[in-house]
Amino acid sequence: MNEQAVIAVEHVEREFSSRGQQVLAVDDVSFDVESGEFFTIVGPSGCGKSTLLNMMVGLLQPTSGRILYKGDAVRGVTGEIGYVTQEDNLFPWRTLRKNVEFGMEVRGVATDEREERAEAIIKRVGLDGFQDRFRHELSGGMRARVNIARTLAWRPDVILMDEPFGPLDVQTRLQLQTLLLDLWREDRATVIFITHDLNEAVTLSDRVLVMTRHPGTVKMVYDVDLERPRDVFSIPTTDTFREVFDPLWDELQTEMREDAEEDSIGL
Amino acid sequence: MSSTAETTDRDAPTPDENVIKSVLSSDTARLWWWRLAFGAAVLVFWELTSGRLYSSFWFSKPSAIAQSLYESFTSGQLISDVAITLRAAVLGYGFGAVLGVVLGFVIAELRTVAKVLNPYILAVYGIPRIALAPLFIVWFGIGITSKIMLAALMTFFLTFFNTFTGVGQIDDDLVNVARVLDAGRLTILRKVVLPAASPWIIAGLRIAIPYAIVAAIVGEFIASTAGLGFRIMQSTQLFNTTGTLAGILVIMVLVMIFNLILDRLESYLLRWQPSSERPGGGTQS
Repeated sequence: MNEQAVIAVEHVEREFSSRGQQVLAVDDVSFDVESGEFFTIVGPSGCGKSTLLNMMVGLLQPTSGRILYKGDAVRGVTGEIGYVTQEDNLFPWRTLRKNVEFGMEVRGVATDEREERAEAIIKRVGLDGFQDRFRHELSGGMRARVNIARTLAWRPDVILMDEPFGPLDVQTRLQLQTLLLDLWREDRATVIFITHDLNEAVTLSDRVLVMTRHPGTVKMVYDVDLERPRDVFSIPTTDTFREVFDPLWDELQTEMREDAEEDSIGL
Repeated sequence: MSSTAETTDRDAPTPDENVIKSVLSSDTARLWWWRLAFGAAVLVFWELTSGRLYSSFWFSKPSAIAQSLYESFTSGQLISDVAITLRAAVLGYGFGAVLGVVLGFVIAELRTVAKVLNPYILAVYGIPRIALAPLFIVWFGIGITSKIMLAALMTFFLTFFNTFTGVGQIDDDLVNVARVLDAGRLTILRKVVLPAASPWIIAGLRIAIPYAIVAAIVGEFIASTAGLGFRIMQSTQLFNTTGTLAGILVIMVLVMIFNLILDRLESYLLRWQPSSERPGGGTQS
């Protein structure tokens, strides 16, 4: 095991029972994530990416194998790992401000400090002036911003992100990717990011893990040797980007093609 | 650097609220005029046809009802009847609502208990509760207790069932937001489950109001010595249709007043929710 690993996944398997049958969703997955790293997991639909995240955060237990957080086996929710889900899951009965404060509230941060920190992060993600809006009064892009802000607000060391920009339009997506990279550089948190978009994976990450189609296992882990800071708007057109992207795409598209041939549930 | 939200989120709802408000208010005003006009037309028609097309002995007429109401008001009897009925209804509503919400919440949270009891709850919910009224008189006597218990029973079932359903409907993803933070069970109940179920609970509380009042009155129909229900029954037995209709009118007004109050309260408590998503709501003006 890597000494610096903040999260170590060791031979993890996970089965689900479906219609009386045991179905293997995640098959013997191992990898380490280093402290401060931006690590992305990319793979075709239904390869068990979200299952992996749920196990890392402690909401699910592996059927076999183990996951270590700072050297200790994860045996349930630790409360130290942030989780930005695909759906925004904002509490509709709380205002934007109160949603951002929720994590700190649960963790017992004093009211003054809580309000101060919430205010700062809300401004930082560009939502100043919308503090008292409820969820149904926010657009999809704003909700995604709040979803990220409320996790950053309680300052977890490790943040898991499950396709947080999935349903957004391209422009909003690029803006939020820029924001995310800026925030990550400021906070120096470890980010484990899930996407099915290889472009997004290469643009953001230090390392990209490609998963196979169902049942998901590790196909390869690739170092992304691109300079930082990166400009998410222009980086995909550079030659160095293509040098990283093309071989990875070769690997990923095989998985996607085979997936599409076996069953026609969309990618 | 990051861009601002204003440029990103063009689809954010930022309408010119003044325009909307003025359109709304003129529409609302027109609606209310039509409502009043309809009510007035019905009353005028009734007044003019009574005694001509049909006997006003059996069907009374608005002017006679107004006269009767005025008399019972000046004699103090109306106030005392309303007070007696309302006391039973309000006390019963209070007991029933507290018990219904608390039990509905607790049973729904104890998932296994909820599963075991579910068919029984559905069965009991299906019985015509008003049929229990005579039994309640036998159990609790002809005094106010039996009326309180009847109103409590009605309220209990409606609030219990709504709370039970609301808590059962909760989105696990929202609970996970708190679980990931290692929140305790009590924190999750207080900060996630309760607010998430609140539209259902409040809908139950609102629906129960007319039922509580009707329950108290039905109790008075069956056996009592005072109250609105007693007065209506007495009038009917004396073929005093005017008195009966006057009593019914008072009940109608009482239910409307309580509904209006709870509507306001609901709008305030659920201001975070677009009105179209409210369970059992959105029917009131």
